[in-house]
Amino acid sequence: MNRHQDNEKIADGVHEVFREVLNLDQSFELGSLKYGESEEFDSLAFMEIVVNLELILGISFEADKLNSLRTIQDFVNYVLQTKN
Amino acid sequence: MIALYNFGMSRSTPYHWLLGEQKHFSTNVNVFSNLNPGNEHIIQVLRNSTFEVFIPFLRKAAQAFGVHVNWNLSNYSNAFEDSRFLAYCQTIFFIDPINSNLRLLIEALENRLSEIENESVAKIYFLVLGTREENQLFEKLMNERSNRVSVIFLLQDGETDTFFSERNMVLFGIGLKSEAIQVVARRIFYQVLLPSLFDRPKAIVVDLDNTLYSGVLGEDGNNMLEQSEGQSALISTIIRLKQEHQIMLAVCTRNDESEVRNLFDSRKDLGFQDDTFDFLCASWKPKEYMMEELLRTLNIGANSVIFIDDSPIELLQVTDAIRGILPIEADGSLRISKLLEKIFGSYSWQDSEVTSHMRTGDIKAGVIRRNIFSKSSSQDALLKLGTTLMFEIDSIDSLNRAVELSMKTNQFNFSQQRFSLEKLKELVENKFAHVIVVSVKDDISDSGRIAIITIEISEEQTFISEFAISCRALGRGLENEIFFGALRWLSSTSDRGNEIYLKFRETSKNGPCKEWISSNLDLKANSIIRIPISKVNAFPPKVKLEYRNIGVSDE
Repeated sequence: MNRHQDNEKIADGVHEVFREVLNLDQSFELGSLKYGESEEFDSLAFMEIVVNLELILGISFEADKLNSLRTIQDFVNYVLQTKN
Repeated sequence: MIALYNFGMSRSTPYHWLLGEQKHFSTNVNVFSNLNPGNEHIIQVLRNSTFEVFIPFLRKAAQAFGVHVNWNLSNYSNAFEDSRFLAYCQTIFFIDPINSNLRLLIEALENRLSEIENESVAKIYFLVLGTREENQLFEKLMNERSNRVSVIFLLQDGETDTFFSERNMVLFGIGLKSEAIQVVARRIFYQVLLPSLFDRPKAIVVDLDNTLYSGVLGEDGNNMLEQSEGQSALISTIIRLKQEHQIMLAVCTRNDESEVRNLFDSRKDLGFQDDTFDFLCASWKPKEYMMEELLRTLNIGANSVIFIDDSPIELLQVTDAIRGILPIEADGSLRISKLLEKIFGSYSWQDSEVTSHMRTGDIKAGVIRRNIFSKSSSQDALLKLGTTLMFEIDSIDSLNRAVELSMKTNQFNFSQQRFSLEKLKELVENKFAHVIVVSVKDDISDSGRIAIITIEISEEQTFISEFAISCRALGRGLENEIFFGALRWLSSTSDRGNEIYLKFRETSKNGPCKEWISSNLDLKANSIIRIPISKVNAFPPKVKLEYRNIGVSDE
C-alpha cells in the first residue's frame, strides 16, 4: 500500500468515526459540519471524537492544536500530519 | 459485529472491548444495537464532574447485551442535587475530588446520601475518582451505611499520576487520558452497570449445535460433531461456575429430545452428559417459547438467566420476547469463557444456604405439585401435600438466611429493604421488634427458609416493616398462609393493639407482591395501610403451622 492509499484509508476512518459518534448516515455531507455551529457537533461529540481517534490511532492531540480544529478536514489534516 | 473503521483493524465484537483486548468499540456493536430499545433502563448520576466521557463506552457495552440505558445526569454540583430524582432507579454519585474542598465535599455528600437513602428503594453507588488518601476518607464516610450503598474506587494505587491528562482536565473537565477513560469505563461497566442491569445469575441456559460443539446434531449425527478449544473451555467453565456458585444449568435446543439424550450417552468425550444439566428443553418449537417454558419450570426471573447461543437471530428472538435475559453470542472462541468469568466476577457470591441441589429439587417438586394442584382445590392440595410452615421468631440462628432473603428477594417484597446482619440483630434484641423467618416443607420437598417478616412496635402502632418471600416458594398458594400465620402469632402475644400497619413501596420488580396485596389486603401502592388484627380470622390456616422459640403450636 502506498502513502496515497494509506492517507485515503485514514481519511475514511476519520469520516467513519465522525459518522458513528454523530450518528450520521452515509448520505450526510460531512464537509458541512463545523464545531460550535452544527447542532450535532457539540463539545461532547468533540470529546468523544478525540478520545476515539486517540484510542484507535494511538496518537495524541496537542492541547493548543485542538483549539484550532473546527471541521472534519481539520481533523483529517491533523491526523495525517501526525501519522506521517 | 464487524469493525468498520478503515484503519486496518481486524474483525471484532464488543466482547473484545469488554475483555480489554481492544480499546474502542466496533462501529456496529452487535446484533442487539439496532434492537428497539424495549429493554430500557434508567440510571441517574449525581455528579460534580464530567461523567459523559464514559457514556459512549457504557452505552455500547450495555447494547451488546440488548439493553438501552438512559442516563439521567444532574448538573455539576458539589451538593449532588437533582430535582428530578427517581426513587426506583439506581443512583450513581460520581465524585471527582480534584479541585474541591474535601471537607466540604464530604459534608455535602453525607447530607445528600442520608436523604437519598431514605427516598430511594434502589441501589446507590459511590464512584470515587480519588487518590489513596482521598479514598480512605470516603471509605470512612461509607461505614455504617445500609447494604444498598456501595463505594467503588475507580483508580488503583499510582493511577492518579499515570492516568492523568492536564489537557483533558482543561478541555473536558476530567483529568484522565483517553486510554484511561476506557479503562475506567470498563471498571464502571463490570462493577456498576452490569449488576444494575442484570440480577446475579441463577441459571445458565445453553444451546447445543454450534455452541457446545461444531456441527448440527440432526444433520451430522453424533459421530461427526467436533469441538473447538473454545467450546471445550465453555463447557468446563459452566460446569465449574455451577459448582462454585450453586447455579443451575439448562439446555435449550431445537432438536429431538431422544437424539439429545442419545448424544449425552454416546459422546461423553464432549465434556457433558445427561447429569451435567439440571434441565433439558429440546423440541422444534421456537426458542422463545422453549425459554418461556423453561423459566416457568425454573421459577426464576428472566433477569437472573444467562443465555448462550451461536445464533444471533435466536438470541434476538429470545431477548425480544423475554426482556431481561442476558444474551451471549457463542463464537467458538475462548473469549466466551473469559467473558463468563468476568460477568460472574461482577457479583458478590456470599455463601448461600440454598444450594443448587435444593433449588433443583424444589423445581422438580414444583412439577409434581402443579400436577396435584391441577386436580384439587388449593386447600385440599396443600393439605394433601402435608405442607408445614415453621415460624422461627427472633432466632439468631436464622438471621444469616434472613439477610440473604432480604438482599436477594426482588419479586415479592413490601419495600425491598436490604437488611444487614447488624440491623437484624438489633431488631431481635429489641423487645419492641421481631424478626420472623419462615421455612416450608411438604411430603415432596423441604425448601428450607423462604420468607422473612420484620415487625416494629411503638406506643402508637404495630408496623410490619418488611415481608419478603423467595421466588422459590412463589406460585404455591403460600403467601396468605405465611402472612396470616405470622399475624396469628402476633395476635396471640401480649397486647399489640387491634390494628397492624404496613406500607407497600412499588419497585420495578415487585409486581407479584403488588398483585397479592391488591387481591388480599386491598392496599394502594405507596401508602400506609391499617388492617384490623381480627382479619386473621378470615384466613383460617390451610396448612400446619409451627412456631419455634416461643413455644406456641397451632394446627
